[in-house]
Amino acid sequence: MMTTLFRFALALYPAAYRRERGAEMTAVFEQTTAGAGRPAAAREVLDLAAYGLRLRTGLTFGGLPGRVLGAAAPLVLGLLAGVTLLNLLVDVDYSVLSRPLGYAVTGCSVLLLVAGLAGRWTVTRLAAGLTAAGVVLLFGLHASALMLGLRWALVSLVWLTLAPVLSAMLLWLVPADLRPRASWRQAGLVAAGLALSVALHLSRYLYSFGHTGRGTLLVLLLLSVLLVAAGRGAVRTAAVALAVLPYVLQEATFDIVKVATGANGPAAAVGLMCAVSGLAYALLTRRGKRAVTG
Amino acid sequence: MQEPTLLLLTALADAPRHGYALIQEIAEISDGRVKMRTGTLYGALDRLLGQGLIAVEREEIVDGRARRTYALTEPGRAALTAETVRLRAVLAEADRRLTVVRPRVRGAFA
Repeated sequence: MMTTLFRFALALYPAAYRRERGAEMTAVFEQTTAGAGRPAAAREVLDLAAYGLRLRTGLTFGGLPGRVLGAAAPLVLGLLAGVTLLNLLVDVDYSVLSRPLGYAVTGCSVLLLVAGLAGRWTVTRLAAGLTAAGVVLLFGLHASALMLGLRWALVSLVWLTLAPVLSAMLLWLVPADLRPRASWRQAGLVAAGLALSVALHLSRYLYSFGHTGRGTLLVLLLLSVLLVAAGRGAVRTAAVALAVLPYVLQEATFDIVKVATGANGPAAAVGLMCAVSGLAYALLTRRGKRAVTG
Repeated sequence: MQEPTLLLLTALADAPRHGYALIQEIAEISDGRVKMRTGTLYGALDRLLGQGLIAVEREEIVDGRARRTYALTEPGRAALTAETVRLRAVLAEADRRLTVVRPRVRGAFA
């Protein structure tokens, strides 16, 4: 059973890596799990699988996606805390939402900010997860109470919670070696994230409602900037686009649904496909120039 | 320098070692506190190889098992030396401060 799981974990690694290191890793795995119980062996398999997935997706110290995510981390952190705090302290109507839950999520956001500035990543990731889960619960309860149809309840929930969920996921995926440490630079970037959250919060009505196609266009534009910048190795530019994308995507939810289901749907789909394939090409051609595997 | 990196470079400081020997050595250096798993070990090794702090010294088959032996490079030795100097300075300062005799805090009615 464990051998099968180990083979599955090894299959997650890129073929070239497996050819180069597979036999060696198998030997180390056999030695470390010899005489160990099933739970210990299962943890070894999980750890192997996790690194295989990171290598496969490039979310490593040397991989381009990993470096972009590492650079984006402080901005994502500031944005997640800032947008959540703005929503809960300024925007939310507590006559229709759970006040204790709102306060709990506010507390998590403050903890996220403090732990992130202190470079305590275990607490930061936990606080990010709790913030996202709290926002989903808070607005999920609200959406279910509105008696909308299932489809619109789901779309509303996405519109209210997508950004915190995606941002928390991004923070969880930052490679361990690229997690920012406590420094003035890190504090400055977190502050920039907070400033961005205010800018996004104030400008959201420019592309969320009443301007058909504008939100979708903005999402495509950001996606293009992200992929082109990443493809050209402009890590900082890609990081800014990546940090902002979840919030623009969230605000544009209704517009995307409207465009996708309206007369312009096919045109938007073609635009999206062109953008993604062109930029994926840019990334793939960049891939050959990468010197570091891990 | 993060602790796993420090432990890995320390484990290679006196002699080149292969993967499993590194796991054992790290457990011994950290007094059993750090048990590096296979995936984590290879993640760290890949990064240190990429940074040029370690290098593959030899590849061989021992008892039918593939074995690659890693060694510290000169930049790796320099990085470890710089880290030990930094840690030594912190320790010396901690020792100095701990030996400073502080007046005992007295209560208002003591």
